[in-house]
Amino acid sequence: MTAQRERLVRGAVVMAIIAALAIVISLAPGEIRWALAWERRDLFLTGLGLTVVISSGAVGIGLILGVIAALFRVSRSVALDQIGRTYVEVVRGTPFLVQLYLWYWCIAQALQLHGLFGPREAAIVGAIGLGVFGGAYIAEVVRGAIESIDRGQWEAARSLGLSHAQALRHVVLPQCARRLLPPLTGEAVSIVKESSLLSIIGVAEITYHAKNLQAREYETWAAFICLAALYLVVTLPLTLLTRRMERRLAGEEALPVARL
Amino acid sequence: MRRIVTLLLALVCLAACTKSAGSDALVVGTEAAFPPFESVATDGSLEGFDIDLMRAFGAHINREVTFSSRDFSALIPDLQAGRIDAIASGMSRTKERAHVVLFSRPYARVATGVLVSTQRVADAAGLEALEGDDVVIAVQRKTTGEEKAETRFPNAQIRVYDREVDAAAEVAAGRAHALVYDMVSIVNLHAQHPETTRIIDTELGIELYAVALPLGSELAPALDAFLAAETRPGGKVDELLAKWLGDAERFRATEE
Repeated sequence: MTAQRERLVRGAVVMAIIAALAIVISLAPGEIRWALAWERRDLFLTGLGLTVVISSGAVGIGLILGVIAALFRVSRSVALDQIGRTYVEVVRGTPFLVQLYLWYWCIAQALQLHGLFGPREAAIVGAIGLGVFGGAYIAEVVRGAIESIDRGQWEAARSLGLSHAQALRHVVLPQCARRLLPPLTGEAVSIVKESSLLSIIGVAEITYHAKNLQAREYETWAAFICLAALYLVVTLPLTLLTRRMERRLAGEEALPVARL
Repeated sequence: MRRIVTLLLALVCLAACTKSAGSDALVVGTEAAFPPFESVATDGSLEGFDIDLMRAFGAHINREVTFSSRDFSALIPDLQAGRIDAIASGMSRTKERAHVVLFSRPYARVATGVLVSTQRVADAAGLEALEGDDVVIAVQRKTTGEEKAETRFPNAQIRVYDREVDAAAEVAAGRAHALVYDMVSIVNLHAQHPETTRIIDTELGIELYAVALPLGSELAPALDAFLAAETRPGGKVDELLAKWLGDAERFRATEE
């Protein structure tokens, strides 16, 4: 199939899906009052801004925790490996909603974080919780990237007299960095989506505003269709970026080896 | 590493600064999804009966009032945790809640009603139609509607939702037989879904709405004095009941 033809097919499929969605929307009982959502555009955009800020903070925390946990997992210390493994398993084995309840109702309350953060407590605690959540997934991504580096690279580095840590730092990690970008962007997308749960504890991110619109005007369709579209505004560019990076990377990987 | 530490320190400082600013304001918790008592207006501000009432109280004691919205079931835990100073959210005074919060005098009385799905419940049927074990009743979490549904319809399947609008949507869509909730909201919800819902003519008792404060709150005497003065006919409460609920006579809290 030529590239042009492929693009045509893909375009047609997307159009068909959009048309199907339009049909579903037309089945809404009664008129959808889009104007109600439009009237609240400033609120929605402010909420989207907070969603982006909180998600960025969470990605930052997640990166730090994820890299540390991954390094623990590839270290030769059994204790460190077990710490990393426990963190990853506990976080990945429980739903984020439950973690959020624990963070907000138990941990933040026990640590009296309200005194420290005041009215921003819910947003800050939520971002931390989200970061810890994302960190566990990032840890696995980073560990996977480290382990994907050819065994020979390790051996070559060690045979040149580098220690385990030096080999990791100067040989293995630099090669991981590029390979990591696409899956990390995927984790960022997942963090953006999970941040919608923060609306439950009163964080005024975008889902919170959509729920308020629905609750006041009883306009469910406009509220949640616009909400979904606005999430896509954030996540789609990230996803497309990932795909482009993956394609470029695939090209580079195909090059003859050893550019070190 | 040093940069990270600096960043964290900066964050902590920022947080400390936010705390010192405006710590004197009275923070009132509410679930802004309960029109006309409280909801979020198009410009993002909270409005409704409870909002006006607490603003008037703030003016009376010369203290700034700020509002903070969250799920209804989160209000009492957050009051206990000290995250909010008071709850004004159409909350009924109940014995169970009075174990953990200090209620003010009541400021409004609202009946509990039942909204049924016209798809699921026959036209002339009354409450007895909801007594079977195949009946699904939607309620909002931690509301008196939940308690009353459990007591009055012990055989029915009670389905608990976090928000009024979700529980009501289940009835409108015919996925639940009935919603047990306050009459003011039920009248509004029926107006939203005139064809798919019907209000049952029988009430399930009367609820008295009050402001909840933390146990031992020093604010209680001032709040009670304010409410006692303003719940008299022609007072501020009457004015607000007429403004938001359209009828002061019917919703005025008469006891005490």
